[in-house]
This record gives sequence, structure tokens and C-alpha cells, in this order.
Amino acid sequence: MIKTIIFHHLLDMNDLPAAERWFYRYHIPEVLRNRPLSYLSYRAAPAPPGAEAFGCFNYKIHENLQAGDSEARLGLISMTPEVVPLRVIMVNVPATPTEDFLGNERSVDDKTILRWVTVFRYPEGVSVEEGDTWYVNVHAPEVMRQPGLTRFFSYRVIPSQVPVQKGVSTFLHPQSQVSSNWHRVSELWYEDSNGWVESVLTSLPGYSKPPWAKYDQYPFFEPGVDFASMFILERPSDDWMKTVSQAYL
Amino acid sequence: MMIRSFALHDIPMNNVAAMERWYHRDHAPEIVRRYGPWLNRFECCLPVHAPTDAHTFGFYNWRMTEGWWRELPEAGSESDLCFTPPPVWPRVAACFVPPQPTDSFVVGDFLPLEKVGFRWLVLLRYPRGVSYDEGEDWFLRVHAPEVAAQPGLLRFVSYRVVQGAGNVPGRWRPDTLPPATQIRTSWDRVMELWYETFDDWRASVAAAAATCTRPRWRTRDEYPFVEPFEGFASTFTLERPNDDFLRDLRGYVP
Repeated sequence: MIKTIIFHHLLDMNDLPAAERWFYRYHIPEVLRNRPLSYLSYRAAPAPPGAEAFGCFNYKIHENLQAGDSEARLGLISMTPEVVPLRVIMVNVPATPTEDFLGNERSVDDKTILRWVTVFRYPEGVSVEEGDTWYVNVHAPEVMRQPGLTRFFSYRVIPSQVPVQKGVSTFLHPQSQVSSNWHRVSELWYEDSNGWVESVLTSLPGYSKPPWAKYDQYPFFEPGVDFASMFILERPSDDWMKTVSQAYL
Repeated sequence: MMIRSFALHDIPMNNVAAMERWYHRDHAPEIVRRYGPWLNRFECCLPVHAPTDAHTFGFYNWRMTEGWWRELPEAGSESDLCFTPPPVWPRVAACFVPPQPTDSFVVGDFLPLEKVGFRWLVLLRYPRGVSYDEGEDWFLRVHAPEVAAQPGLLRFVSYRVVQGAGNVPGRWRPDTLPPATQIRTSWDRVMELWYETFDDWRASVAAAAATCTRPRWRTRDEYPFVEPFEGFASTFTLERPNDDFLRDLRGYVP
């Protein structure tokens, strides 16, 4: 089973009404033609103060579970073209995290949940194995010392992204940018915005910079270039399979 | 007779995770279970992240709840269970209006798909010492026609607030009552203004600030001539509600 995680960023917030209408009337029903097992949308929660410097995406995350990574897309006609330009990061990961670092013993009522969903890629010239060795063995244990961190897990991105690119290229807006050459998605949970600020801005646990880093500070990936993120809440804003009928054609 | 409620909420954003959980797990199911038979529609819109300059217009940053009531139930007796209190008390601006606008200033002479946009929902209260009739006279004869001439305004309707309709039903446990200063239910007018983009909204508000006639009884010289939050509360929503609670929730504790 594959989970597709899609970060959406509006290049211009003026486009929000048009983007929402396009998703709801056209894109969501057309995606549902492919019979996902689940299809959820999380609208971006307001970012804590100071989080803008961490490559924050401003719109929403889609999360889509499917039985396999099939190239064959169902539907008898093309998808309706995007009406506004978006920056999109689209990655496939296993349905469950590949590394679970912290907090899986917690239950839902222990704390409220502010999810910081991050995606990053190692710089050119750094192999995934080399990068992952640092991330899993050096960096993650240091991150776990953040004072307000309540949950922390990560997915290694499934590298074959040909279907991802191929599947979306036909309906993109001319100014849209879609990328899928990313290496990891990690989720870090905090009780609230103050928890994130304390953990990431004011009480840094002390990090070991990787030798290949091109960005000197945490998170050691250049924000907006090799590191993007979004804050979401625990409940999706939309559970599309409950609320939208699939397109017939 | 059918009546419609608007409730704007404003919270410390640090608590949004806790408040969202409370609304979905506790508050909305409690309303659905107890008052569903009276409600024909019970929806929420999450506000659009408004531009910073909108915050000076009494911007309420959290849920806008809209109820369409077939009729209002009794306010709530001691035999009812109490509402589960929220983790923090939101600031609330709420009122009742007729289900359809009482006044239409810029008519929406377009098909739903011809234009796309967002709603600026505004609750207006005339200052203390200004009679309702005096306030209405300014609003209907002077202000609304000037606002209607703004560039970029797609649609402009208004509702006369139903005075004396009371509060939404339900009760809080006596030891968890919301602070009275947090709840504002005394309003005179609701305005709904539609724009295609925030740039259009900004241009319209700038035009209003430059051209609208200031009422004699204004409490401040700048548009909108009354104090934000005290006399002018607003929020921005998109066309589609985020939650349709009567469809999606199954409250079960009576």
C-alpha cells in the first residue's frame, strides 16, 4: 500500500477562491475515479510566529492511500486543467512510517496536536544512504531532545516517481511547479504553537551539523529550496470520500 | 418562523488545536443531538487567512458558524445537560437575522460559475446614544449607496438584525460560564460583501475610506467610523462551508 503526500502552495493568495472551487468541483471528483482507499485534505493551520523562515507552504496537504503504485489511471477523459498556478511537492511513501522515533505510546487525549509536516532532500552529491545515516543516527536523536516535541516519525520517500510526474503533467497550469525528487517526509508534533516556538526557536537542544550541509542552521537544509513544511491539525478539513461523488467519466 | 444565526469566533491562535478538537468532539455533536430537530442547516466556515490590513477591521480569526432554525427552542432549562466548556473561551460576536437579506444593494446578476470570490461578513452596531432609527437612516440612505459604488464589489446584501431574539439555546454549567465580556450579541446590521480577490477588497476599502460620508455620531474618524470589535466585527470566508454538521456528526448524549 502506498501513501501519496502532496503539499500545495499558492503562488498568490488572491487565487485562493478559484483554487478551492477548482479542487472541489473538478479535481477531487476526477482523482476519485482512481478509487483511492482514502483521500483526505488538510488545510494549513496558521504557522507559529517565526515559522515562515522554514519554507512554509500556505495552502493544504492532500493525503491519498492507494493499493499500489499503478501507472494506469482510470477515467475516460483528461483531468480538468488547473486554473491557478501552484507550487506542488508530491511524494509517495509507504503507508506507515519507516522510522518511528518518539511518542507512539501516546493516546489522543494526552495532548492536543499541532503537526509540523516537513519534507526535505539531501544536497546534490550526497547519497540517500549517506544522508539517512546522519538523519537517523545523529540528527533524529538530537531532535528528540526538543523540549516541546510530543511525537516524531519519518517516511523514506519511495524513489520511483515516474508515475507521479507522468500523471500530473497533463493538467498543470503553465506556471505551476511540481517536484517529486525529495528524500524524506518527517512529522513532528507539538501541543500548540508555543511548543513549536520553544522547541525550534528558543530552546535549541544543540545539533551536529552534517559535513555536507549547505545551510548552517537547523534544519541544515535550505528552506524553500531543499526543505518545505506545513502546519496542520489532527483532523482533516475534508474527507473527500465521504463528501464528494466521483466523476463518472 | 425561520430565523438564521451568525456567530463569529476569535481565539488565541496558540490554542487552535485544542479548540478544533473541542468543537468537533464536544460542542458540535452536542448541538446536533439536542437541537438538530429545530435546525435545518448547521454549518461552519473557517476564515480565510486575511491580509494583515484586514485585522484592523475587527477581524475574527476562527470559525463562523451559521444556523438556519425552523424555530428557536427554549433557551435551556436545568433539566438539560450542560455544554462541555471549551479549553479557552473564544470572543464571540453573534446575532439572529431573517433567513433572507432584508436589503440588496449590489445584486448578483451573474451565474454561480461566472465569477469566483469570497465573502466579507460584517456585523455592525451603532454606538451607544444613537437611536436605531438614526443609525438605520444613515446606513440605508447614505452609507450603503456609497459602499455599493465601490470598485470590485461583486455583491452586497444586508440583513436587519432581529432584536430581542435572545441567545442561541443551551447552557453552561454555572462554574464554567463564559466571561460576559467575551460575548457580544447586541448588533444592528449584518453586511455581506463579495469580492473576487483580496486586491479588490483592498481597493474597495481604500475607496470607502476616501469617499464614504462620516456619520455625525462616529466614534472614530477613520472608516468604518466605529470601534473595531465593539461596533464592527468581520471575517472572510469562501463560498463552500468547511463543515456540514447535520450531515457529518452523530451526537448521541441527549
